Amino acid sequence: MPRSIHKGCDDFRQTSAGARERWLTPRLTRRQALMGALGGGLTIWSQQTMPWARVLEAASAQAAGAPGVRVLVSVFLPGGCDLLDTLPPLGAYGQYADLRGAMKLDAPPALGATGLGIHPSLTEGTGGGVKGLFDAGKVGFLPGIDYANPDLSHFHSRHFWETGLVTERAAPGWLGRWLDHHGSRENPLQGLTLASTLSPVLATSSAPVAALESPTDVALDVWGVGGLQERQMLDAWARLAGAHARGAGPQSVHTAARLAKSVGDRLRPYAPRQDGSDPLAPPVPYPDGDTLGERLSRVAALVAQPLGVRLAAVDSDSQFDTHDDQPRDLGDGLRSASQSLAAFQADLEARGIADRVLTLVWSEFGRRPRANESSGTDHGAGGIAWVQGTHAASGILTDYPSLTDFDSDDNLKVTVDFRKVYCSLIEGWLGTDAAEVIPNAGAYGRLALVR
Amino acid sequence: MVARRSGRILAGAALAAALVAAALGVGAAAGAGTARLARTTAVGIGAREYRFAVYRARVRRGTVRFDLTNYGQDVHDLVVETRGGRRLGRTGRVRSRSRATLALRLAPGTYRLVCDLANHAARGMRTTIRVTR
Amino acid sequence: MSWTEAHVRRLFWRAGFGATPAEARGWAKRGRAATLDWVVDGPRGGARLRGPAPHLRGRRLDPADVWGDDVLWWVDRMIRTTYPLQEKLTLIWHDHFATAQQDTPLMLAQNRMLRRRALGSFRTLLGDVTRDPAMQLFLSLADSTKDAPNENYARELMELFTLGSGYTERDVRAAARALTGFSSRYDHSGLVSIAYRPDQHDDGVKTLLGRRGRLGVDDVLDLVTAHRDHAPFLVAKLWSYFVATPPSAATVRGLSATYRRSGLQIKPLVRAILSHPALYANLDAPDLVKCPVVYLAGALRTTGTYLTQDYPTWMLHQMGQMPFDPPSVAGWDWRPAWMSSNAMCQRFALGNYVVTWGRPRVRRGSAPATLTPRQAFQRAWSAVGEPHVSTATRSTLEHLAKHFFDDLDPRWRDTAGWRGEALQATLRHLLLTCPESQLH
Repeated sequence: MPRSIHKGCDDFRQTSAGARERWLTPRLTRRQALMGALGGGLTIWSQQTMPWARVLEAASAQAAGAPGVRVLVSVFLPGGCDLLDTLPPLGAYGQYADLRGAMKLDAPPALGATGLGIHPSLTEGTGGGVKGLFDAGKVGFLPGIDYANPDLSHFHSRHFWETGLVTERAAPGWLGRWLDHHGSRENPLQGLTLASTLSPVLATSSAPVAALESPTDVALDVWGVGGLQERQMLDAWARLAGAHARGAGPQSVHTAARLAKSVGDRLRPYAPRQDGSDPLAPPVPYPDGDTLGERLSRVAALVAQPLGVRLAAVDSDSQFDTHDDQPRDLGDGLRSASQSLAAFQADLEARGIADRVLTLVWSEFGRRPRANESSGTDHGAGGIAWVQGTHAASGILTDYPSLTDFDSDDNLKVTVDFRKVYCSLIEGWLGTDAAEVIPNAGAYGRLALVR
Repeated sequence: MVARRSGRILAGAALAAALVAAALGVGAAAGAGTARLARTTAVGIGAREYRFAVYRARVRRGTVRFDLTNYGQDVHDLVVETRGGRRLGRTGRVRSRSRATLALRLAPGTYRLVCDLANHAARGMRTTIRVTR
Repeated sequence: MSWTEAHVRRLFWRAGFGATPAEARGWAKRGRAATLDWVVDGPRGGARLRGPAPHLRGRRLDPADVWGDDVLWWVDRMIRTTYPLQEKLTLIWHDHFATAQQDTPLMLAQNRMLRRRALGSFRTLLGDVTRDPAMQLFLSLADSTKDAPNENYARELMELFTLGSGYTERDVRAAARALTGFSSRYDHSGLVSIAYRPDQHDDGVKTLLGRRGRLGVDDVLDLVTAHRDHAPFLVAKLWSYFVATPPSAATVRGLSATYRRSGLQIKPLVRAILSHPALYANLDAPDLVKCPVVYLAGALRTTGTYLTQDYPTWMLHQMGQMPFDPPSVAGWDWRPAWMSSNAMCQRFALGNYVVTWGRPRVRRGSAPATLTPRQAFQRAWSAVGEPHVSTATRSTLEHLAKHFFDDLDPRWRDTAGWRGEALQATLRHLLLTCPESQLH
């Protein structure tokens, strides 16, 4: 069935029977799985209940703040980031200029000897921004990334990327599933979303995860009560939470009550102080007033603490759905990304934890090669992602799509399946079997994304 | 402690902040009296590809607050113009599943509501609203 | 079966949004049969709203046009209705026939329809849901035509709304064809109507669930509700909203028979569930997790708090259950899945709003620091509507009360009223938010 070009959301739920493959494991309820499926408003933090003795055992066994534990950070550029303007093909500049007309980039800086250029906004920030990181061998680009027969609905495609499954069927996030297999049953901070609601990427079916904008968000706080009385109140809460509970419902309530307190307690030292100082203040400058940068700075700060953070998800606040005035919007979005990511990398290095953090930057699809009449581009295939970090493979890691040979919808031909990247990260960076998380993992092959 | 309390309220999620802003009305400064808020009429508007749904087709003169929800997939905005095309106000760009409010003092008459992104207006995102005495 | 205040409290929570102390005492005296009749049938003449209508900073609610007021409008009904079961069923049907992302006036119209049909015939409810504009737009039944039938509604109709199993993909396709013909019409300011247009309907022969013919919309609804899997499916689903432990096979059989015998009436089925001994198990240790809406509306209703603030809207979002915006057509995930460290943190935060702005707020001079721990607890417990509290919880809170002034010279206690008030606020907050209060 040919996929429609974006028609808005009228056709949003229109699916053929065959497309709704049923992959879910039986213990997953439909709802647990569906969260996030519809563009993400609601969130669920589920957890299994377990007896106390096992809880203590799990907690001590985890000690997941252990130095050296590897961390994967997901950075999402929402809206569908354009490949051609992000990495303009200097070797095919004539074709590029023809496709993009007046909105083309005139003289984009070259990306070494790769034959590609780079959007000028990606040179902004500490040490030359993302281009600086590339030049230093800390960025590997993945042009042409997508999946076969791409769906150009934001909701569908985002859901596929979030779950690592090309199905509209409900499922937890791909990183959430990794935590279900390898995470703690006791530490919600292992899967950290920097937002007020959970990233669908980190939705789990059993492992606890947490979402916060700032450590103050998660304190159990009775207004007007502080000091000794606050500690007494929290002690009372701990006793109430620790009371014996029988049955699935009561146990889930008591576990949640206990975890809520432990998250609050563990993050309390990092909340801004009365004197205005911020214990999470970064050691390097971040772009002023940039939400992406602020969130990344908190990720760096929390990863540096013995809190057991394994996975983190951050969304850019910029708009990459550049149907009109792409030069302005893409420029702004990439500038924010470049400044924030460069500061993040410098931060990790300043804190001495850069060797254990790898970042994947992604977007739900690419854009149409030929510009539209509003100086913008419409939804397309074959997008752009990159890995970043001191251990990231560097260079151009996948084939750049042809600018003369398009698919039947006049879109770029996809050169790498995003699940190949997921499998490679799970095995290459997290060191576990990808087949546990990505069905049919063997079929995608692997890329060397980690060195 | 009082400061902490109010800080806590405002520190909630962005959603909470948006709601507080919506409750106060964009045009009305915080602390504006009850009387003034009472003269504000809200008009709910749903935006999607490519049309507006206006939940109240006629409003009384005074402050009109447009509560826009973007149910679509694309970014949209709302521009309020006179029939002659003079622009009176514009929401920011509103993402999918997001909301914005725009409060304007409007005299009796007919006003145009359009989305001025790309060719959205030409594709159907334009309508009118009547303000009566 | 004996009938105590604990029975009344259990029934009122499960069937509605909790019992006030006066309700618990009054209905315990009147006995089981009278209480069940009142709960199930509601007051003569139908539901009314008691108490003051909401005013938010002097503003009346404007549910269609002000974002968030739709939620407040509904929560207010839950707090003030004289027929809580009707609101509870409306909430349950909103979850069962989950619809989202449609324009507010359509969602409000659907809500009124669900309320009107909440306890009547399921077949009638299903017919109205099938023709409901918000639902039709959500599941693309509107504008599903004979040339391009859309299977979305047909599939969920069987999978989620009526059967769960016992049908094939071929049945889905046949039902989709039989359900074609609804056409939407728009003008420049939105949806004008959705009408059934025979020329857009596929009037060919289809085979659905073993029946062959030129089937149309009502044939589909008749066939799915006549299917042998329908009654057990609906019985188990409804049961799960009221009772924590799954029903036995015999219970499902018995309730299915009740439901079928009544001609698919909802009320007798619900009455049978609410009368079932399983509902009254473990009166001392409630075992069903309150969903966020019930937790919030129940806290307000049982403490005699009326809406004067808009925090319910965003708190419900934070706690994971935003009415009119379920996460998918499958509705919300109930019971233990509501719980998480984040959700609990939000549920804890709700205590601040109720204790600061609600009826349980601590009045100045009302709680001297010289009260005994027992007196302090008692005062807090009364202020929050005398909820069920285990002895362990009570002793934890009295322990807190006993040591709350440890840093204060005993000679100053009689002048430290503000500290007594802080203790009251803390006790009331913990009573409203503690693990026990999350269960009913």
